Amino acid sequence: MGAGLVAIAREPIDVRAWEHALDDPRSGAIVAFEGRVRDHSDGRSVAGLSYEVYDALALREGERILAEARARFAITGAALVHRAGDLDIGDCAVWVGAAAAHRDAAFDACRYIIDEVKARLPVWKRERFVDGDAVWVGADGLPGCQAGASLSTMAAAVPDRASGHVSTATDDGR
Amino acid sequence: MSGPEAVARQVRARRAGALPSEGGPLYGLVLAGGKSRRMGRPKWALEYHGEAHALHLREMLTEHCELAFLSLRPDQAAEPGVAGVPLVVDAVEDLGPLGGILSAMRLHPGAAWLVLACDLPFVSHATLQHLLARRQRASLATAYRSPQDGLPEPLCAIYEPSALRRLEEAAGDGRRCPRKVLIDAGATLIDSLDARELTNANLPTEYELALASLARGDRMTQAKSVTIDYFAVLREARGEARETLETAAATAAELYEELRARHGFPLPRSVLRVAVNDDFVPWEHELRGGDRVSFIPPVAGG
Repeated sequence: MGAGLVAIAREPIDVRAWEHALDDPRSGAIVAFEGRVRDHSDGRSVAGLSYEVYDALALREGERILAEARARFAITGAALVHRAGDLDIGDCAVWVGAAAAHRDAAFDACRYIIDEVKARLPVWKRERFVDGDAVWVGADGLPGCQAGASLSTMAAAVPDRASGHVSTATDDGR
Repeated sequence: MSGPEAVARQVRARRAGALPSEGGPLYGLVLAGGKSRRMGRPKWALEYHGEAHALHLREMLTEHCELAFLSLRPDQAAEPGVAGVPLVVDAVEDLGPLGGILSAMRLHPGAAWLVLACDLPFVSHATLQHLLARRQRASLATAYRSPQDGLPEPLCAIYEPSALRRLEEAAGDGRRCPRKVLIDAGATLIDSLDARELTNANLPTEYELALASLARGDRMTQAKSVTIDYFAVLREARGEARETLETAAATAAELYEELRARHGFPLPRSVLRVAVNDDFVPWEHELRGGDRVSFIPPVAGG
């Protein structure tokens, strides 16, 4: 089992470098998920995002998620990096990679990690709209939350805000 | 039953041990005329010690004062629960606690008043003795200093007869805040024995926490210093990313309820998680001095 790698990045994510971090002669498959900033949200035009992160807790929770993935799936390694700070449309917001001898475990682990990251990592997303408005995603529609002008425009829970693209590499098919 | 303009009924002879009066008498007043909107039911009738708390506090006051009254709104004076209890019915309406204090002082302008809010579950005889022992008669009032912000706690305080004029002025200007009156008048401030003793319960959750705390018998919990880091929505609601403060909250849950009441946080505890020293903990986690605490709003990564 390879070690887990977790990072909070304040600079653009170097996806190539992160894939290399999973290099392992035992790996026949790497599955990676890359979440990117999309230009629209609930029909509104998005200008960009800002992520606020509780770094120390995010690193700890991230390590925990990777450890869970290693325990559940036959992977050789996994890595996770999440951006903090201001991002533009198209920027990589989160990158998750899982390496395994065979592709099934890599797919399953990658999916598990990104789902847990979105549910558990202490990261908060502020969407900036083209019209100048900005909202904390997920903070509106909560019981007791008296939404101010900046919070009132979102519908209730907004699930997946970053579009994803999944890529596989070097699956030897065995 | 007393009419709205009324009034005090004398119930009992002065108890043995009551303070002798020097100058005017000392009377007690429990403010029970609040509307209890946030609690959703009358705070004065909540039971912390086996009886309506306002009546419990009034009983306590009779041991330290020559007479002790309940301050009520006119529409409460016919409550069956207060039959036989000496009352001061608000003569000035819509002035909140200030109106209650003012009504009492007008009724007996020669008296000093030991005033207590009815939503203080932890006030004890020691609290009252400590205050009385440090009373400065030459001062317009003697009050506890809030362990949170250093300002006077106007609803556990002794108002001397000289305070009447200041309260009338404030009422005349439509100023409802007795705390402001005490600040402006330079009231004598004393430190409390225990940061928890003046904690009040405004919300149903705070009532439950206070009951649990009393059941554990830990109301004399030592104050401790904790640092709170705020993120996202809570950071904006607080207006700061970090604060360090003294609290007697025993658990993370109690600390959140205390801060929520103080800062008016919009989020109920049910939508939050809590972390202490950079790791998630259950809400019942017991706090220690020096802890760093964060309340985690709903996350939205990815």
